[in-house]
Amino acid sequence: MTAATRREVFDDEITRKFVIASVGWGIVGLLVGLVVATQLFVPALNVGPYFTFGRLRPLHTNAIIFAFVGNMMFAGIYYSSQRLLRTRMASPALSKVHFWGWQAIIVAAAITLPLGITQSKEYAELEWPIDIAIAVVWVLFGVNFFLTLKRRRERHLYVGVWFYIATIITVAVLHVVNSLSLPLDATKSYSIYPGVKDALVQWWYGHNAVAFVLTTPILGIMYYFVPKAAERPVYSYRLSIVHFWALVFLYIWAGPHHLLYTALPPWAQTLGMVFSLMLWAPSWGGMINGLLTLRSNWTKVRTDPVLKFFAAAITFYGMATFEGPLLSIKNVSALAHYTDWIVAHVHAGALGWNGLMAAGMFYWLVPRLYGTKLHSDKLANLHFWLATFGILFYVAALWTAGIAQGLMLRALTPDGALAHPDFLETVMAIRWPYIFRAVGGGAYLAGFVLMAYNLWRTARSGQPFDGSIEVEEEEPPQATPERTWQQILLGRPLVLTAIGGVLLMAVGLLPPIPAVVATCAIGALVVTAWVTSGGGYHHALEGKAFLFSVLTVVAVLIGGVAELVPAVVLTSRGVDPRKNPPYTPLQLEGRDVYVREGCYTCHSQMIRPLYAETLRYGNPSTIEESAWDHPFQWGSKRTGPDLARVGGKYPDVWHQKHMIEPRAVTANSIMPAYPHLATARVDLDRTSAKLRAMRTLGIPYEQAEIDGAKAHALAEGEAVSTRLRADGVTLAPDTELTALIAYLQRLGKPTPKTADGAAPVAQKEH
Amino acid sequence: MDVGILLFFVSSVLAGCSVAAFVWTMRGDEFDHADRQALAPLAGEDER
Repeated sequence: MTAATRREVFDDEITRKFVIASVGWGIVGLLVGLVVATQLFVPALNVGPYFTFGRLRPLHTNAIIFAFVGNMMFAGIYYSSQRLLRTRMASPALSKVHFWGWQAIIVAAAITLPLGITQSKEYAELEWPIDIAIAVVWVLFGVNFFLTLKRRRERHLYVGVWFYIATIITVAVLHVVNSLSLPLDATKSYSIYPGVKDALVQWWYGHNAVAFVLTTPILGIMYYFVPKAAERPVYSYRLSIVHFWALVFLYIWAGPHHLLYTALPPWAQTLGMVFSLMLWAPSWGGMINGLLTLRSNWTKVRTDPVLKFFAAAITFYGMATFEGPLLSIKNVSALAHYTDWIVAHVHAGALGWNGLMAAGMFYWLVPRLYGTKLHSDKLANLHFWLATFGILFYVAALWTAGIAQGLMLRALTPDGALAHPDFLETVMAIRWPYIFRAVGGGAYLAGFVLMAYNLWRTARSGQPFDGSIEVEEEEPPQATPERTWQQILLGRPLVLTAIGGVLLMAVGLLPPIPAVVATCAIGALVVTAWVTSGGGYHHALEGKAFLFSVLTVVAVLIGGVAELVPAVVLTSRGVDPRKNPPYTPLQLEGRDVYVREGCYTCHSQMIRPLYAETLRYGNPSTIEESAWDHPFQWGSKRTGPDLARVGGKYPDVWHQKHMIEPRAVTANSIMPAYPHLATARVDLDRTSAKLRAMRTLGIPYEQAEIDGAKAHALAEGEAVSTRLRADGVTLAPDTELTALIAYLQRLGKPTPKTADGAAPVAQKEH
Repeated sequence: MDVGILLFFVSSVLAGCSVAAFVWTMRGDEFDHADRQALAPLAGEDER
């Protein structure tokens, strides 16, 4: 007797929507990227106030990460999950809310970022109302996904689904923890974390945005679509088990490699570096698994554009995940950090891994979503070559730029002085690589537009088509009983692994040689436990979605908790407010202008303890110097010089002229002009509220300082105006430029409070 | 010299663990399962 069957029709409309959104936003994101790349050698393209580099660069990164890759990832997850779980999405309504909510968030980002509404934390710039919307929409997506897991018809979860689980859980945690901020009003908030803590939390988030938005979901997509397109099973399912657990456990620790040689405590830097190096193994395990899935079908790879894109994407994944750990080695980071080498690395990943995976998936999906054939294989092949050479051109140009500039910045004369003391000289030296980079990016964009045309013609030649499968009305009973969740949790392998983990922490207390011996012994113990446990352990776990998700959370959170808790909870600000008082009211306003204009996208405020760097900028930065910063402004790229000690280096009038027209002061400067700052007024009625917010965050402002903030700011502004008048320049005391000058002159030059505890109005040395 | 002994020891442990893990995979029944699960994306559906 055969069981009754019925037809389960998948909701592919949601996949079609996300594909269209991804392609559309992809063009926008790439176009903005091309504009900001061109601004670096044609500064006149900075059209203020809304379209300067500092405002457009966050728009570019957010558009690529969350709009292009985000929508692509959702398309892949919705399509593959339904098939791997053999069921429709639990709630088509939630899917629709997810789609339209996500697009609304993207539109909000596209409006607010050019307006300068930003938190200035990279890839997390969006202000708090949008952050809340992101959290809500993401949770709705998660609810829909887990409800679908619950009603699945395939008992065992395939590896692709594991990666989706890790993505959904981890992104929620990262986003919420990093976005915690104190709102001032609907368009302005301050991170709750100060200085070094903010830096650590931000790069824990920032690195794992790369890991859990740009990597894990795409790996899930790789594990589904590459076997599907190659018509071959994944090369090694067992390798994928190791790949998954090792990757999600290790990735979360790696964030501090963005902060090597900074004022971050050395132990956190070391952890970040070591775990980044360990990531080599699982990353390459995944790459090998992906490439070898194609092993017996290389002929098809030569002719099928889909497989070409997949093969190239996985190769770029291997390259990028080789380069990442390499850049995390402190000695390499000393040269590469703050230079275009990092930008090259990021784009090898984003354009190569993400972009080519997206293209392969779209070329495979769209004909199936519309029940037709691809419009043109030739166009797809042309796209492939444009994209591949575009990336290579782009990456090679920025490798050249980054390494050349890094070497120039550290070059010394025989008597130990800087060989290139003028920062601009190093910028001019990489002008041609910047032009080549834009050419490479332009080729990539051209290929992408070809793809959009090809997909559009493909869709037009068919009709929307939803896939379906035959399913049994009732799930058949299990052939063999599996371990229960108690047997899994309390089984020897998991218990001994947990005990081994705890013991490993204690190993740090031993001298080096006993520590190595003990580590090996613990490792051997854990392996023995797994070896003697009998088979079917992971097999049983794959059948328990809830337990699997919980263990994923544990694997992910261990690293986050171990790194963040000691740094965020236990470390005090460590600063004496009498020697290093908080910002004065006008400086605080100037700082907000600095944040709004995205100055951090080109200027760091973190001098590393490297000889050439201290010669150029002064003493290494300390934790105390950014203790009042909510959010921190250490930056990650030096298109211009470090500003940590720019205070007092130039007179006020230099800053005034430089901001109005940089090239009037520094020939060949590529900095945008900010003439609008000279006429825009600071809303000093809000200054007290800003000081109050800062006090809520723990900054020791007295009530009198808060009450008198407006008057104090005006007096400070008047002092700046007076000095400028002496140099023949008229500038009102309450302009944004006045405030910005007050802030810049403060950097590296804290003004001790006077004996009566009040902050002085002006610094004498200006 | 100390480092040489240490490296020898660590390498031996790693090699031992690798052999043990290999034996484990051979003795276990997960290969069959792995093969079956690896086929999951290839499951057919109605296509136009």
